[in-house]
Amino acid sequence: MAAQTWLWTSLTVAVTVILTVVNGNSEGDALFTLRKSLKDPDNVLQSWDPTLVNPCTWFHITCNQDNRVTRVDLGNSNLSGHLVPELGKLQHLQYLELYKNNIQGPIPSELGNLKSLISLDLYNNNISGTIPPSLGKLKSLVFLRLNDNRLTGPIPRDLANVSSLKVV
Amino acid sequence: MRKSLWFLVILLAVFTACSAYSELEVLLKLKSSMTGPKGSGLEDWEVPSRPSPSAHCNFSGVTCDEDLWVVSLNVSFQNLSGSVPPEIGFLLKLVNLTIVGDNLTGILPVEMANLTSLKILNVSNNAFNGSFPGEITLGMTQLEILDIYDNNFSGLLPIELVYLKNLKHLHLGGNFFSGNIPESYSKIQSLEFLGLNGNSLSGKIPASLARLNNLKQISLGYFNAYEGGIPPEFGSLSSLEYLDVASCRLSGELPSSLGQLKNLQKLFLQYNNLSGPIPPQLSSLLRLKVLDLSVNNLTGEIPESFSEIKSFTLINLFLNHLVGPIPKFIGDLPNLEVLQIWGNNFTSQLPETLGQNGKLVVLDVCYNHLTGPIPRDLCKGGKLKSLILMSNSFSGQLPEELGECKSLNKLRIMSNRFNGTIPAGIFIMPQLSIMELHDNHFSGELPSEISSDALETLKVSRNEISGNIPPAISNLGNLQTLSLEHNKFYGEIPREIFHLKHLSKLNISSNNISGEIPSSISECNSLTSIDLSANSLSGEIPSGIAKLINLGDLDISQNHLSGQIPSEIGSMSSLVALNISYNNLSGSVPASGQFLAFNNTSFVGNPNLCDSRIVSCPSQLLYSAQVSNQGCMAWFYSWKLMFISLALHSYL
Repeated sequence: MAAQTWLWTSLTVAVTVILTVVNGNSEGDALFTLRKSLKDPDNVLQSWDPTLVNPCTWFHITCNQDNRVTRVDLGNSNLSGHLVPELGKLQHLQYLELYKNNIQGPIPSELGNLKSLISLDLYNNNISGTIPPSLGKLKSLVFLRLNDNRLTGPIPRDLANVSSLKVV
Repeated sequence: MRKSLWFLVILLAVFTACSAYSELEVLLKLKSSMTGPKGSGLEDWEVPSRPSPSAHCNFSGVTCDEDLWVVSLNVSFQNLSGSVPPEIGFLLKLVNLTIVGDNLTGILPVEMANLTSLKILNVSNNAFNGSFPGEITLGMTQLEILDIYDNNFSGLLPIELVYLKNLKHLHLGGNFFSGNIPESYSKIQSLEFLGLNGNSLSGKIPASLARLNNLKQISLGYFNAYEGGIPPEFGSLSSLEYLDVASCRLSGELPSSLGQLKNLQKLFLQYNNLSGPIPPQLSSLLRLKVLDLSVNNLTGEIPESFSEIKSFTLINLFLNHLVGPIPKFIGDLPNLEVLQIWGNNFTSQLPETLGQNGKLVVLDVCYNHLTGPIPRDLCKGGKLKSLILMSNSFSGQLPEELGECKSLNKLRIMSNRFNGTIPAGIFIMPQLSIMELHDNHFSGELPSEISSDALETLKVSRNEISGNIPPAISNLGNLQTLSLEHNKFYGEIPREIFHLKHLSKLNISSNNISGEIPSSISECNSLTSIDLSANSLSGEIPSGIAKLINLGDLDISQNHLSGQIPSEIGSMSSLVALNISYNNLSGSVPASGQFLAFNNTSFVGNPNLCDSRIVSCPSQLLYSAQVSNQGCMAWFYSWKLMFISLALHSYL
């Protein structure tokens, strides 16, 4: 099936669909990519509507005054599926709370781009692969909890450079 | 001899009457090919138990003529998943081939060229790929409908179609065709519908398409990326009712000649790079219902002459650089249902008569510089679903009529200068899911009657609202976000609030709330964020707060909370932000669990609180109600003394 189908079948209705409008919506796109990649039997992501101008009215999302995403709160949400590299685009994200779900697959190395991140909580999931050294770039990180997953390999030395780390 | 001759004649006759494949055999071959290895369907297409010349005519989706030739094949929306075999070319009498939405793949066989009786060829919504074999249409002189919408065809648009003299409906949209739109498509004079949208087309839109005098609907946008703009010649498409060239990088100005399209009902040009003004000549489009010019770089004002277009149902002009007032006539449009003009530089007031036509469903004027009051009759027809006025300079009170608007789904009027009381009816609206009134000058109190299963977001923060927080807020069974901060609420936090099973964000900070934090807080287990800071809360921090397994952010700073910090908080692994500063807490900050992660700033401003992560604090047992202001050090010395005396005791 052509990839365009879902997008402009809504054309026929008089209300139009916005694609990427203001730069705030690239954050919405990134989060919507996450939504598509997760299985959500409890419909916690029901409000994640990509046609809105920004994700700031979405539940489980918190934005700052400039409509940039600062928190993603999806702990204990019965989610499965996997994470996506697009998460790395959330430049103002401070708290990424995905603990106690059934998320699988690797930790995208792009999470190392989340330069404002204070808390990365992926504990109690089914995440596999190794811990990306890029996480050493997260200079504001205080909480890094990856326990109770299926991670393998060494803890990267780069993490030692994160002087703010308090809870691992 | 004569007998054997007759026999030969009859044999010959019988032989020539049968083709190399019978219709039955062709259909069975089609079935085996179209229901691929993982596919299903066409279960009733079976070899008949008793030979019958007409058995195949009873197959589902098959229609025969009186001579038992298959004239129509309509098999749609079944998960066939296979491909179309060359044998389809044997159905020589086929007039209608419709195989829509069957998940078919592969290429279209060139043997289809034999289907010269075809009037309808519709293979839309499948996964056919490769280039489209335009040559198969050369013999299809009767073809009226060619629909290959939503497949994976690629390559150039087929040129052979220009020889079709009867083609009315041509839909090549939703594929991966590239290259230019052929100028020669202007030769398909019979065309009434042309769909090329959703491809990878490029180059200029040929002006020659304007010669398609019978064209009623043309769709060229979405994912295509053209050079230049809309050819002004398109103004001569006198039959045109529907023009859609949205989202395809159009540039330049809107041609005023488009005003000649007397039959135009819907004009979609949104999400392009169009600049310049909206031509006043467009006011000649006296049948225009839908106008969407949103997300462009248009400048200037809404032409006054648009008042002549009484047929408007939808006007989308959002995200442009338009200026000036919203013309008065907009309020008088008899059929207007949707007005979305947000993200511009519109000034002055909303037309007073807006909504009086009783048909308004969506009004979105946010992010402009509008002033003045809200028209009373916005919801006169009881159909208004979205009222979005945020980030303007609207003033005055909300009309009471708004409280009667039972159809409202979204009310977003924050960041304006509204004053007065919020109409009570808004708190009992059955369909309202978002209520955002924050950042205004609302005063008075919240009503005591509050109930709704629809409301999920309630924000009245940054206003001047006083009175108690109504316990009836607990009737909002699906509430997820409650924002009451920066107001003048007084009294206690009603314990009922924490019965809200879905409440995730609660902010009551910067009010005059007193009393204790209700212990029922422990029942509200969807909470991820609590802010009760800057109030006059007293009593202890309920230890039950540690039962909130999703709580990430707790701010109860700047209150009069006393007693000790419940040690259970240390085992709240979800808690990544804590602020209990500026209270009257005593005892010590446990040097364990989550407490180890928080800065000084989380605890500062509690004179009797000893931070055992930094200094050694006396054991809890030694604390009594008569803690003096000497802080930790006095207790430290007396603890040392006690230890020494115990040690001495053991020696003696």
